[in-house]
Amino acid sequence: MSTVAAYGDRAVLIDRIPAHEVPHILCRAEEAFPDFLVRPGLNTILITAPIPTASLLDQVRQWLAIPQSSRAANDARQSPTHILEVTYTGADLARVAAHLNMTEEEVVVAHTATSWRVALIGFAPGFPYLVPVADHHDWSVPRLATPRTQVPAGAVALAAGMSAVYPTVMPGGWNILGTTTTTLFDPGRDRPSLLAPGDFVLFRSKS
Amino acid sequence: MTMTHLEVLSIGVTLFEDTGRFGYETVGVPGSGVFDPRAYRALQGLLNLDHNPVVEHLAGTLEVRLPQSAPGGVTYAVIGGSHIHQGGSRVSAGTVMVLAPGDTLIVEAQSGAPAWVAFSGLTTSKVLGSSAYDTFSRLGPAPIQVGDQLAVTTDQAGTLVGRFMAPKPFALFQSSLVIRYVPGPHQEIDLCTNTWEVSSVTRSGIRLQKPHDVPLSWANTPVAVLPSLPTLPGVIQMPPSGNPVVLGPDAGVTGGYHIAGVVITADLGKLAWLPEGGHVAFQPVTGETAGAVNDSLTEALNTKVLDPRGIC
Repeated sequence: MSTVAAYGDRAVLIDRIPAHEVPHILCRAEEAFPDFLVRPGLNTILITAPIPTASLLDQVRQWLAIPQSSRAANDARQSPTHILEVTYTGADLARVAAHLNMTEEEVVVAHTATSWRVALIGFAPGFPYLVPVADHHDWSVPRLATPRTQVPAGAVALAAGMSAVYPTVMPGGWNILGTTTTTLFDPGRDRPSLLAPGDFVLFRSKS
Repeated sequence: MTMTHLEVLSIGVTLFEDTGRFGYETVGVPGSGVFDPRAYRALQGLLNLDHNPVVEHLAGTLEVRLPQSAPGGVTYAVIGGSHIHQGGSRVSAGTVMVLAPGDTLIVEAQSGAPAWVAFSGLTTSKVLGSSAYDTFSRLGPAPIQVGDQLAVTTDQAGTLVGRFMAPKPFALFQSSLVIRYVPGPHQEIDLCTNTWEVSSVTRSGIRLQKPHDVPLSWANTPVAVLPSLPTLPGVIQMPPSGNPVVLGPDAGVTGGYHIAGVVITADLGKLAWLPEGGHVAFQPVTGETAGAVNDSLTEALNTKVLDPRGIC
């Protein structure tokens, strides 16, 4: 059962949301609170007002209490799908395959066959946390014990059941499967981030 | 009003900042902006700034010079700093002054005594609609370097010169021992029984150390890390080490540590004034109290600045 709590004096956190319900509640919250910043975590949604707003907690509680017909199917249709071409020659591909008891080729086939969805974007501008839409495959691989000081821009990586793409050169501890040349974040663009929470991502092997 | 420039002769930790960039947190971009938003609003009132950036100078010696060939004087004002000199004379913080052609301005800053300097017409490049420099994401106009030229304008009529801050806002700009916060959302962490030592202060965050002899009341929390959730500046994170981190304006927008509470909006600026090696205590308040405090702060900062010449 999700909970609602004050988060400072100008935000409210909806917590303990089942992960697969977050995109749907996120859509509803964005419509219900158009003047506020609404953004997701893995099982949370934060609603932030521009100035201290003591009534926000009650507003969110009342809104959550309203029964809503399930519009999950509609939400899915509204979210775009991005196809990222990947050269699967990452430094950690062999190790990931060994950990998952698969061959490298099997890892690539499974990774490209999986539908991924952007759960949240954080850690760095444009850095997406991608979760599998269906739980057909166990992607639990631990992060590197010692993070790399420099991960290449466009690195496609895996850790703790999620995929990610590093938008720029930065330190990182996820397992690198390959790289994509698609630009994930460009502050000069009208929409600087290619991806948004709720978007779908498919990976394709570049042969 | 004519465009001119200032020559940068010396810098320390010296950046352009404004009110920050908002609406991009959803795609991982911190709001950034001035470390003390109150200082920006005070300078905005003193110099009638539109949305011009200011120079944020957190440590070292800032020295700028208006070339002798400049077509006129450039008005400025400083909030904070440990020493301010113009042409060898001391200058008071919170007063609008004019830098004449050939004059040099020196502003010293250090931990516990940060400085913000506004110059008439200061402009620089923008990224995502803001001139704020984000030290974490490295977005925004680059940190100011020796040899840079700061684009400013001469002050047309000098009507602002002599303005100074009313006593109430002036009193805000000093180190404070108590910072107010709203507890939660992870309620089981008690912050207010301890006085914390300040280990380091940066725009990404303030690291605190627990006192040696005091056990933490939450030490039995079984879960060290949570599924990533959105964060805000002012969030007080409690990592497994037991040494809290208070997020600054450039902190990443998501995190996985327990959150003991969030500093109230009105007290966010106090974080910039915490001295390394000093101490701080946290006082829990309700959302209602936080709102009332913010309203008083806004009123104080909007107090009409006084002009000793009797012109408003």
